[in-house]
Amino acid sequence: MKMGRIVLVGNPNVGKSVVFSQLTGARVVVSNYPGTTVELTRGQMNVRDREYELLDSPGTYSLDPTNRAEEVTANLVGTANVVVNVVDATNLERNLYLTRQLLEKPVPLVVVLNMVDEALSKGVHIDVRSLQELLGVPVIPTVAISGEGLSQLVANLSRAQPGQADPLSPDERWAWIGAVTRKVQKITRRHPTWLEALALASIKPLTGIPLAAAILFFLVKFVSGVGEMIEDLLLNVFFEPVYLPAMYYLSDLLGEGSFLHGLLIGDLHQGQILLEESMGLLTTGVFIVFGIVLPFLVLFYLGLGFLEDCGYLPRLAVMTDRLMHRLGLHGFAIIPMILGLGCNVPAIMSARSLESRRERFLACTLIAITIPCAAQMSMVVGLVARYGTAYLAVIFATLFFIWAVLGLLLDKVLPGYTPSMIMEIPPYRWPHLKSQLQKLQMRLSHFLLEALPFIFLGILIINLFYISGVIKFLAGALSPVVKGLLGLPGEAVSTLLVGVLRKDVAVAMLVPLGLTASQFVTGATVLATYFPCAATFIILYKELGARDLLASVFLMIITSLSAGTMINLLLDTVLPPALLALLLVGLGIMIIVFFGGTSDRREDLAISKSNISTWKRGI
Amino acid sequence: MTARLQSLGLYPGQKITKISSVFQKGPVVIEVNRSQVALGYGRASRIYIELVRQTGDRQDS
Repeated sequence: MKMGRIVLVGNPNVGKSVVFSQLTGARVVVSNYPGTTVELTRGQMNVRDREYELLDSPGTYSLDPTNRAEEVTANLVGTANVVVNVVDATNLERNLYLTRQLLEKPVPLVVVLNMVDEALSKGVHIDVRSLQELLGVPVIPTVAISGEGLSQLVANLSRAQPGQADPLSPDERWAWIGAVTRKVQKITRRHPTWLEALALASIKPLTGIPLAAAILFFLVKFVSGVGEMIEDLLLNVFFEPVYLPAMYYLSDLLGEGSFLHGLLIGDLHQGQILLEESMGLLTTGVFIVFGIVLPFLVLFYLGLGFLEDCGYLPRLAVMTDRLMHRLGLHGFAIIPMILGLGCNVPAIMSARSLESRRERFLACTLIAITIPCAAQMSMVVGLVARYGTAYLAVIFATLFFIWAVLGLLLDKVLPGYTPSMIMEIPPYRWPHLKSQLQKLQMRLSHFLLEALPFIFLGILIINLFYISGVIKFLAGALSPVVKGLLGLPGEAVSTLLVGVLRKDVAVAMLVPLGLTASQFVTGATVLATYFPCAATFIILYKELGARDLLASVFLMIITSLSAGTMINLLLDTVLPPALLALLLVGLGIMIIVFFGGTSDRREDLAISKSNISTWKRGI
Repeated sequence: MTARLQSLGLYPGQKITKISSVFQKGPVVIEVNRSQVALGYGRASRIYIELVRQTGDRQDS
C-alpha cells in the first residue's frame, strides 16, 4: 500500500517547522522570522501503527505564489492525502485567507490553531468550537513549541475532510473572513508590554539605528573576545600539554621522512611540530578544526541563534533597507548576508525568499565574494592579528569596499529593478532554550560532518601534489599572475588550489610560506574572494543555474585579482595599513551615499508604465 | 503586487495604523490586524489612505 502523505501548510513564521520536528522527531532549523524554511523537508511519523510521510513546506500567504519558495508549497497541496494547515492564533484574519483557499480545494484538511498561549496573553480569545463549525473541518488548538495539543492533532488526523467550499474571488474571501472572525474572535485591549515597547524602539530610526549598531558591535565583541579566551584555554590546557607530546611520540614511531609521517604529522621545523604550520592531518588538520574554528563557530551560532529566535533580524532588515536598496537589494537581503557570516551554504539557500532572479543573482554573488564564513574568518583573525589589528582591518575594509562597489555596479548593469520590500515583522519572543541548543547542535554537527572530510581531503591532496611535483609545475605556469600581479611567491598557488575545497585550511597554508604582512593580507583577501569553497559552489549551481553561476564566477575572479593587485601595490609601499583601511571604508561609504539607487527610479518607471497601459486598455 | 499585499491582509477598505517610518525614503511599518508589516518606500507610497483618526487608526482605500 502506498504511504499516506501529510503536508504542513501555512503562512510564514507560524511554527510549521516546530510542529514538524515535534511530530517526526527530526531536527530542522526553526527561527522567529518569516522565510526560515525555504525547501521541502521530509520526515516520517506513525499514526496507529501506520507510517505516514510528513512534509514541511515553506510558508506562503496564499496559493498564488510570489517567489520560488512559495511555489514549492502551492504545487505540493495537490499531492497530499491530508493537509495540515498551521494557523497563527494571534493573527487569525491574515491566516484565514490561505485556509479559505485550502477549503476550496478537494483535499482533506485539518486546521492547527498554533500559539494559542501567545494569543491569550495578547488578549485574543478564539472560540474554537464555533470556528470548527464555520470551517467544517477539525480545528486543534496547540502550543507547538512546548508540545501542547499535538497528541490531539495526531488523534484527529483521521477526521480530516475536504472543506467543500465554493471558490470565491479575493474580495469575497476577505468578506467571508471578516464574517468568521467577528463570530469567533473577541479581543480585549490591554497595555503594551515592555517587549512591545522594545519592538517599537527597534524600528524607529532614531532609536533603531543605534540599537542595530550596538547589537552588531556586541555580537562581534562576544564572538571574538570570548572566542580568543576559549582558544587560549584549549591551547594551554589541551593542545600544548596533552596533544603535542602524543604527536611527538607518533612522529618518532613513524619516523621523519616516511610517507605516513608526511601525511599525518607533516613537516618538522628544526625538529619541532608546529600546530599551525606542519600541515599534517593530525597536527594542523585537527588543530584548525578543534583549536581555532570550532570555538568561534559555537559562539557565533549562539549569538545568531538568539538573534534569529528573538525576532530581531526582520527589524534589522527594516533599518538596513535604505542601505541595501543602494546595492539593488532590499532590507530582507541582510538576513542571508548575516547567515553567510556563519556559513555561505544556508545563506545562499535563504536567498530563495527574494522575489526576482536579479535579486537572487545579486545577493548570491555578493555573499559568495564578500562574506567570509565563520571558519574562514576565525582563521584570518587568528593568523593576521599577529601582524597587528590594522592589517586585519585592511582585509575587512577591502571586503566592504568590494561589497559596496560590486553591488552598486551590478545594480546599474543588470536589467530590471528590485521591487521594494514587503515583509511581516514578528513580535519579539523569548528564545526557547531547548530549541536553541538543538539548533546549535545541528549546525555544529553539520559543520563537522561537512567540513571535516573536506579539510582532511584538502590536506591530503596538497601533500600528494607536493610529493608528485604538480605544485612546482603550476607555480611556474601561474607565476606571472601570482608573482606579477599579487606579489606572492609561486608556491602560493597551492593555497589557491586548496581554497577551492576549504577556505580555512587554505588560509593556514599561507603561514609556512613565510610571507610579509602585506603579502599575507593580499593572500587572505584573494582567498576570501576568488572562488567559493566546494560546498558553496554546488549550492550556487543549484540556486542560480549554470549560466548565472558562470557569470558569478567570472566576477569573482576579476574582483579578486583586482583587489589582490590593489593591496599588493598600495599596502605598506604607498600607504600604512590603518590609512588604507580607513580610505577603503570611507570610499565605500561615499560611493554608497552618492552613487547608489537607480533601482528605485526604475521601479517607479515600470509601475507607472504598467498603470498607463491598464488605463489605456480601459479606454 | 496587489495580490501580495492582499494576501498579507492589506485590501481596500482595511484599517491600518502606521507604526514608524525611516527617513530618507526608508521603509514604512504599518499594523494590520495586530501584525506588523514593513513596506519598502516604493510600495508604501502607492497605498492611498483616508485618514480616520490623527492619533491612531487610518484607513486605506
